[in-house]
Parts: sequence; structure tokens; C-alpha cells
Amino acid sequence: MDWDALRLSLQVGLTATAFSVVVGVPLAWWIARLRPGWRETASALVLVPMVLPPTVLGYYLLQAVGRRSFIGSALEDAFGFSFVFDWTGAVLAAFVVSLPFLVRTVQAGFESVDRAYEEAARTLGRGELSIFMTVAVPLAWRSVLAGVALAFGRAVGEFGATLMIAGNVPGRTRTMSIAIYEAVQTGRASEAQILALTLTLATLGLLIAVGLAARKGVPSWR
Amino acid sequence: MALEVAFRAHAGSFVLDVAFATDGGTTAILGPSGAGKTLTLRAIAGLLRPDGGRIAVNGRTLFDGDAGIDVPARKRRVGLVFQEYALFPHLSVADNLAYGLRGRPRDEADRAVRAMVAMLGLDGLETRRPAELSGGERQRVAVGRALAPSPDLLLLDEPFSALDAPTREALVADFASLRSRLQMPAVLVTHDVAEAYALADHLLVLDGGRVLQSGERDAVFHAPSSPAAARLLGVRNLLPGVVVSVAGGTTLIDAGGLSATVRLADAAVGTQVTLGVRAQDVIALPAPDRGDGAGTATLEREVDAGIRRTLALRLPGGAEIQAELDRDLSRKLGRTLPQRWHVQVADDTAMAWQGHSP
Repeated sequence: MDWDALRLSLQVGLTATAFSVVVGVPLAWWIARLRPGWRETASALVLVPMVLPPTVLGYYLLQAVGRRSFIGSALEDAFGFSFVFDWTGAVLAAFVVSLPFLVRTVQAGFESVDRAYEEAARTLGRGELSIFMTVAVPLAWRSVLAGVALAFGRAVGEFGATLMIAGNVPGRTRTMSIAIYEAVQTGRASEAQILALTLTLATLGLLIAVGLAARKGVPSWR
Repeated sequence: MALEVAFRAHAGSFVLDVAFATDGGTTAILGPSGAGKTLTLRAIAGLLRPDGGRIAVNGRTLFDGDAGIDVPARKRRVGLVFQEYALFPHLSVADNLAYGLRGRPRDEADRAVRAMVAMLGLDGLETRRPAELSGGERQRVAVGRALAPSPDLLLLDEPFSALDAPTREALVADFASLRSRLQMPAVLVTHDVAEAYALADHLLVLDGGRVLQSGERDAVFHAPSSPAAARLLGVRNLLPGVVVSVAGGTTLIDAGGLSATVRLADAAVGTQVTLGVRAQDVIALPAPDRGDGAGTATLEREVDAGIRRTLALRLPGGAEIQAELDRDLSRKLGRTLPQRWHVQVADDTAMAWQGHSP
């Protein structure tokens, strides 16, 4: 059993999901409040990583942050850091593919919140950030949790783009999905079976935990 | 002036052009749905940006199209009570009341919340969520939430329309007494004439985005400026009539069998007019049946609402009028009403305008 792969999958999945939440929830709020027309355009743009083949996405990421790219070489020169063949590359890939799932789900939640709450908060002296934290997020809480669950599910299963940018380095970038692929390729059927089952259970467990959190109720930040 | 409002705004193809000013007290905006009442409140609160004009409270300019001033809603110090209240469903009553007090010292905020709880009779409900409150309690929390930060102006959008009749009557009475203790001017939107009259010092009649009439309550209520304003002010009988005599400042009008004296400037005999009479100002008395029916109205139907009994009577001239039956007379007559009635208008209650209204 490749425990490193399980640890790495959870590490990559959770980190990517955290970035998705930090970027995606405010992004969803911003899109939900755009004028009609602009809103549809922004929604469609956010969906691009969801509809592109993961390998194509991975290719673009490699072009964007690879060693010979502008960003990649700048990062390497300044910090000696590179996404390529590194677990952070797997995080980047998982983040990009999971973001649309989070944004779409949370955006629908924000759009279903009555605008009157936001307007009431405004007449009561609150600014946009305060309204976001005390009204929008609590009232769309179930959608936020659903978005988190979907994004995590997608992040933890990332394969194509991850392989393109991070490769298959045991202990460093060999996540469960890649380990399963390799086990099947090299004829280790029973190992593939155990890995698949473990990944299924781990993901399921996390989703159930999120579901329970959703049942417990809504945060009442003031 | 405590409140100066004069602006033009639009929402889609709907154009709103509103102007009024008051020196304090409560102003009721009266009008049918779609008149622009809510949009007017939204513009004053800063939730709708006017195309031009000026809005000022106690001399503080909140919006001035020419000067490029548009104070954001959060800085206007204008409290708004939403029609469906928009109480935050995830916060307790106390947290809803305190929502507009962020940034104030803790003890000051606590004191303001306790003052609202006491003033609005919300004791014991502080930890409840809005879903656990009755309609009347929700309405009071919404008023308290808007009042807690001591706004310069209070706006109320149909605050009683979501309530059942008994709660509504009790809360209208409560609000009237609450109002007398509040210093700030208030603007109340309603489509209910009785509610507007009971709570307001000034009336503003709005229809199709335009102000039909505005002014001191009784002046507007008893002297609507046009048949259209009269209809919105609860005048149910608007009849085509003609001036039959002019003598000593009073003008006698006949409207197809209903006569009334009114004060009407520059009305020569024969002038076409519209006569307006409220149903409660029509005095209807049973007429002995002489067989010829001359000069009497015929009963078409009656609506017995328990607290009042309204007759629809056909005038000899063919027009139909509504008359409220006197209570004592109603009791005496019992269930079956006679077919023929004498109708006259109570002294000094009739209104008239030149020309026939459509």
C-alpha cells in the first residue's frame, strides 16, 4: 500500500480546495452581482477549465509556468522554485480544475439569496466586505459547503493536468489517481483495487463530514 | 425643510418624477400598485440612483444630480423598513436589532438594543430567530432594526400590508403612538387611504410615476385636486354633472338625479363638471313607492360587510352610485331593503372639478 500517495492526494486535494474557496467564493459573489449579460459572459469564462480536456489544460499550464515560460523562469530565478515536477504543480492543476465546480455552485447560492437582505444591510451602514461576510456567505452557506465538497472531489481525482505539469514522482507528485493508473499499467491488479477502494472511502468520508456540517446550521457572524 | 425631495428616475421604461417637501412629521405616499411608491423610497434610501434632481434631509444633501453628490446608502443615515421586512433569517432578534450599530461602543449598542426591545414590546424574544416570530412581531423587529441607529429619516414600505386584519389594526394604533415619540421625519408608503389618514400629517398622491397632489393631510383628503386624485383618496362616486345654478359663492350641481352644492370658482350655469362624493357622504333614505319612480334611485345590489352596509343605487339619469347605509336605519330596515330610495349629499362634503372625467 502506497501511503505516500494517499497522504499526497489528501494534501494536494485539501490545499487546492482551500485556494479554490479563497479565490472562488469572492469570485462567485462578484459574478452573481454583475449586470445580466456580463454575468453570463463571466460565468462562461469560469467554466472553461471544466470543459477543456485535462491534458490540454495541463499543456497550457505548462506553457504558462513551465521552466521556459516567463513566469516559470522568473520564479526559478527569484526563489529557486518551480511548479514542474513538484507537489505544488499538482496543487495548481487541481486548483484550476476544481475552481469552476466551486464557483458555479456557490454562485447559484448567492443568486438565490434575496437582494433585499443585502440592501437592508447597506441602509444599516454596512460596506461590501461586511455584507459579504455577515449576510451573503451565511445565507448561501449550504451552497458554499456543497461547492467545497464538489471542488474537493474534483481536486482529489485530478489526473490528466497533474500528470502533464507535475509528472509521476514517487512520494512527491505520485497521487492516488496516478498510483492507480501506474498499478494497472504494470499489472498490479490487487494493489490498484486497494488504492481505488481507499480513495473512494477517504473521499466519501470527507463528503459525509461536509454534509453533517451543512446540517448543523448556518454561521451567524454579525 | 426637514425633507426635500425632487428627482427624476427610471426603472426600465417606467419613469418616475417626484417632488415634495415637508417640515417634519409623517408623509404618506398613497397610490395604486405600480405607481412608483417603492421606487421613491428606494431613491431616497440610496438604493436607486436618480437621473437627476436633489434629495436632502435636515439640510444635508444626500443626492444632487447637478453637483454630482450621491451619498452611498450606507452613509445616508436613512432607516428603511422593507415591505417583507427582510429580517436576517440567520440572526436572532437582538442581533437583527444591533446590526446597524456596528462600530459603536459595546455598552452604547447594548443600550440602544434594550431601548428598542422596551419601546416595541419585544421583551423575551431577544434570542428568537425571525422564523419563530409572528407577523406582528416581525414587523416590530423590522421597525426597531431601522430605528436603532437613530436615523435622520425613517422610510416604511407598506409596513402593515403583510399582516392579518386584527394585527394590522393594533399595529397601526401602536405605530401612531410610537410616531408621536419620534423626532425624525418619516415617509410611509401605502395603498390604504384609512391607514394613510390615520398615520400621516402630509399626503402625497402618486400615480403612473407622477405626483397628482401633495400637501397637508386634511387639505388633500377633503379637496382632491382632480378626479384621478379623488379616486385614489377613496372617493368612489365620480359622476358627470352640470351646473344648474350659481348663487352667493355656492354652485348647485345636478348629476343625473343627485344634487349637491359645492364651492367652485368660475362656474357658469351649464358648465360640464365631475361631481365627487364619498360613499359615506351619500344619505340614502327609503322612498315611498309612488309608482312613477320620479326623482328616486333604484336599488341595484347591496354589500353587507357587517361593520358597514353599502348600497349600489341607480340614479334616474342612469349612473350608479355607492351609498353607505346609516347604521340605525340599517337596523330598523332589517334584511329586506326597499327598492326605491331618496338620495342626497351631506352638507359640505361634495367636490367638483371642471370637465367630465373619462
